[in-house]
Amino acid sequence: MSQEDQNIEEPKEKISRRKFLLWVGWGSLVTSLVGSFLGTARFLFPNVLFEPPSSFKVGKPEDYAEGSIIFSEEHNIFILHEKAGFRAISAVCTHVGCIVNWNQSQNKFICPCHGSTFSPTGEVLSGAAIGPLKSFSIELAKDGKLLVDTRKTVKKEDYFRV
Amino acid sequence: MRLSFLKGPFKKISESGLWRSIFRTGFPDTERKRSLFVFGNFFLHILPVKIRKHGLKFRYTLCLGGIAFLLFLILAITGILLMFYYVPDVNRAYEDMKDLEFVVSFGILLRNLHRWSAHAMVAVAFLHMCRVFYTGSYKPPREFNWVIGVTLLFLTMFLSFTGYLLPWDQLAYWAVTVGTTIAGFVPLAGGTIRYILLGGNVVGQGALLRFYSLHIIVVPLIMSILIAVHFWRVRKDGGISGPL
Ligand code: HEM
Ligand code: FES
Repeated sequence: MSQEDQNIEEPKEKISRRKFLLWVGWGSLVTSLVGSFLGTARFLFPNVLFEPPSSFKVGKPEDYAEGSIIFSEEHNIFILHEKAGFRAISAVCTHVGCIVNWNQSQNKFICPCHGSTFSPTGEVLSGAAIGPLKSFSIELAKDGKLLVDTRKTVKKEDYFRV
Repeated sequence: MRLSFLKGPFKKISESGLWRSIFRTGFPDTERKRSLFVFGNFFLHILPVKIRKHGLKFRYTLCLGGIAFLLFLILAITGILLMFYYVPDVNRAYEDMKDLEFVVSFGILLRNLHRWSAHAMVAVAFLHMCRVFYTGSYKPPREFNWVIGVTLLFLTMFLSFTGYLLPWDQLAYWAVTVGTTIAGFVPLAGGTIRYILLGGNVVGQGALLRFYSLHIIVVPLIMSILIAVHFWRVRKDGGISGPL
């Protein structure tokens, strides 16, 4: 066979069998590896959580006297009733997650872990924490009870009025 | 001798195929047999054929890496035994720990062996790193073993952290609440890391189960492999470092 004959039989653009099989082989290997990696990664994220509900009722507005700050151990929140209205303040310290205490005589929240202090509205007064305590949205449920939704936060000037 | 009647059966046993398959070199009473014995044994072949004199000096290594490895073995054995009585269920875990302390025979010994060895391993691995640093043993050609070492130190601490949750007491609960909140502050990925570590948003059943799985199999398995590589590298890098 001369050089010319060979050129006619195999044009340059044609993918050789070897190359084709290499592509198929590597392609399917990489695809299956990437696929199972992504699948495994996704598997680690649970779709259903068996956790305390993110919204819950905390009793009737009348249960909270004006000027009171009442702690709910079950939900780790403080219900604050001021002249301006109600607020639901998270008791979870924004430093690294301990539960703050309300100190009536000093009129502030104090964290037992590293001593952060917060104003009655949750603003940082001192200490390790840099962000304010979260305030959650409050609504009135149909049965006349206060409904707190921890998925929605409100600004510090937002109060809930009945 | 009155025991001479045993001679016959013993000869039969010691000349059987099974016996000779186990004790292939015979009694190692010559240099050659001894070295064949070491070469042909999986557990001993890890030992170097030759060792430099300075590598044996206690004052040089303080045997800290060896102690860290010994603690790792103690932790593996006591840990497996503890698993026979411990169930990673939020309603049972704490009770099981109490049972181990007050009801199970030698349970308190095993639990304390496991706990103290765990604390010691963190300290000893750290001191071993200091030894390696102060003797300059991280220098070429041992840089890669230093890298493996750093990974081992982090894994040791992670093992310690995941194990800390298992008693499910106040100490455990708040330590892990704090620890995972800190993980949540990692830029960009923090929330995601926290979520897959806890298997949710709070320290609950999901978190206990994940920490348990990480603690009893995932991390120890990775560490076993890395420790094997670590030892192999010590040999490949020319044994324990020392004066050239
Ligand atoms: C799980 C923890 C660890 C175990 C079980 C372990 C075990 C060992 C052992 C048995 C040796 C032989 C010499 C000796 O006993 O000192 C060794 C040497 C060495 N280790 Fe580790 N190690 C661990 C962690 C680390 C860490 C945290 C580092 C440093 C970041 C490190 C870096 C090295 C280096 C560079 C050598 C070679 C030292 C030399 O040639 O003098 N290892 N390791
Ligand atoms: S967790 Fe509140 S100050 Fe650190």
